[in-house]
Amino acid sequence: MQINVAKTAQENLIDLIIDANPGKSLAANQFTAAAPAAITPVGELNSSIVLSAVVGQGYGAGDVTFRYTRLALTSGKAVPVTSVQVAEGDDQAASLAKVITALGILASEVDASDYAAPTDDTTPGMITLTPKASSVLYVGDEVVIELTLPAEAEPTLAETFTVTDLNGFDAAQ
Amino acid sequence: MVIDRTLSGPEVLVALINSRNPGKNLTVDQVTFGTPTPIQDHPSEENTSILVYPVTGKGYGGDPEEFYYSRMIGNQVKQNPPAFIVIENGEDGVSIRNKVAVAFNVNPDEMLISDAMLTDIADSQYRPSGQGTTTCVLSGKPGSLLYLDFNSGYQLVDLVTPEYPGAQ
Repeated sequence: MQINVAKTAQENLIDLIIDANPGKSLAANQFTAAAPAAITPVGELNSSIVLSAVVGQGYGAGDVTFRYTRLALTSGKAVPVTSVQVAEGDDQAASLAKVITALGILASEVDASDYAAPTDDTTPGMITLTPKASSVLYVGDEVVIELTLPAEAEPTLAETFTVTDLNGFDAAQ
Repeated sequence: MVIDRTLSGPEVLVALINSRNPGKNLTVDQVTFGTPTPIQDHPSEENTSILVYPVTGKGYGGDPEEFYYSRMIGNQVKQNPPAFIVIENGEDGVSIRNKVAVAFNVNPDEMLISDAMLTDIADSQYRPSGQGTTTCVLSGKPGSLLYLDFNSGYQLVDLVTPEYPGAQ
């Protein structure tokens, strides 16, 4: 199931649980979740998470452990994103927002570090994203994303060469 | 501007553009040229228009720009054309062609130097010998950036052997 970046991490987890348990219902106020834990992989399953029922909200007291797959940060796109174009003057927050959008991930689930702004269109910057230790959705290594500026618009020939009537050549002596 | 015959057609045309636009420094890798087109009645009397296309990423972008200039006619390339050119007995066509190009200061890649006749010169019946002579024709190659084709004018010059009267 694809992560829906318009939803919270918890809502995505609920969707995953319901997807595997058709006909059941689960709402955010009906449970609390412990931090997910890495497990010895079972097939594609690499994580477990314990949900505890909130008594009085529809389920009796008790815990249930789900095993599921958290994604590597770069695995959400068919074509890996390693470089993101930002605008001149973008600060870390603005650059991060563009990186988050380009990678199609939830900002709440990652930490950003090692930010360096690009200095010109030939000198890229960078930003490092790391899945939060408590992330419900992502796991794995940090990713370093290159930040680039758009190439400066090239002048047109018409703007530069204003004399277009060139006359011609002179005969050799 | 006198054509530097050692430069290619595009190099010469770029030099012409720069010479008319002081301070600019267009280079041949920054543009490609369309086909030069004969024109008439241009306000400043140039005989040719050409579209110049920017090569994206090389310094210029946007649309192609049209320039107007005058390509040379075969009989205008030299102020005082030589009456004849001396060739050696047995001299091959390539050598003769280069000799003519130097004498007329033309770029042999842009100018037809009597191709058909020089081919014929390889045949002994046309090659001048003794006091012989044959005529060479110079005209722009079709599509040349620098010279107009045969139909617009051409230059004739005799090729003679050393034994030809006056050749020495």
